[in-house]
Amino acid sequence: MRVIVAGAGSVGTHIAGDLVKAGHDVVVIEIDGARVAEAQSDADSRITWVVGDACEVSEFARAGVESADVVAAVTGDDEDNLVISLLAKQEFAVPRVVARVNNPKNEWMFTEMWGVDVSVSTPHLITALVEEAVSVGTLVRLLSFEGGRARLSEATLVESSPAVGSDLAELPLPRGCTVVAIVRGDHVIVPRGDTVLRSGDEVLVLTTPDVEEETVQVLLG
Amino acid sequence: MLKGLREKLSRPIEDIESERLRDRVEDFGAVPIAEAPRRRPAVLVGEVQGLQVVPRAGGTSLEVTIDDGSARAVAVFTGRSRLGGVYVGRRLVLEGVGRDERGRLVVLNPAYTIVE
Repeated sequence: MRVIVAGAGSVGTHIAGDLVKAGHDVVVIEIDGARVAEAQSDADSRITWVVGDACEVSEFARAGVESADVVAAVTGDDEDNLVISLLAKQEFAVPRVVARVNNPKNEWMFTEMWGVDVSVSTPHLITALVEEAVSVGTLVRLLSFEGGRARLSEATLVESSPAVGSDLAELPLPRGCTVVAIVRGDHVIVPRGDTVLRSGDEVLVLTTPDVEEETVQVLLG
Repeated sequence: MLKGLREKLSRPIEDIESERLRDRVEDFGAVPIAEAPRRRPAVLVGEVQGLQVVPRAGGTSLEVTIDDGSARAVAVFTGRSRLGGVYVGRRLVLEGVGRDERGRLVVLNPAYTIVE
């Protein structure tokens, strides 16, 4: 796949390095020539570097966006990331646009309205992972995809949870919800219809937003 | 002559409709929508066949479907629920970059000109 990474900070440089190792064709576009020279010297030689402003259509085009499969807008500035995402989607019709959210306050804007297919907010992700580790008996949202139309959430069951003791097939889970994994102690269980839920199980569910409430009721009461 | 009439009367309505649409956009000399390039700037001409306000994540979008007798294209205007002068039956010129989305040609926020 051909990937354009906008922003050659530590995030952009690492993403580019990882993607090139995975066999992808990677171009990094960065406005600061000195930063490019610095990053280039100790990065993988297979990465292509372009000095230019990705917020400017003509300069962005020099990175070869019109043939990119994915654009990742990962600069340290949310405004720039939004502009890059919108340009990628509107002017170059890039199939998949991934954007980095620096300030969680801005996360609400990182939607299809601005051309963003997937947004990643580091502070939000860390909060979610901390919550996931410590909360019991509530539903913790880990990730959302497709502009919020699908969510991966985690619920840790307690003794009093209504789902404890019943197998998945008999649980009245709504149609828009699937149990994708159960973490029991050190084991990850790939769920089947006859898997019986126990107290202490960490249940990972994929849901649509409208059935989230119902899922909580079924699993946690 | 009678044979011509019979042919006219027995043709499927879809054929007649697409011929009418083709006639209507002919004089622009634009590329037919069915052959329009993907991911390159393109000019599309067609008759507005439908308007739909669609809730997308974060707000509403107006989806305008145009047809030129060869295929349909959908223009998505994010953050809009109406566009002045754009109604069903109007002839519209769209300039933008299209891509295939679930089997349809979608152009995001194109420049549009109402021709009549």
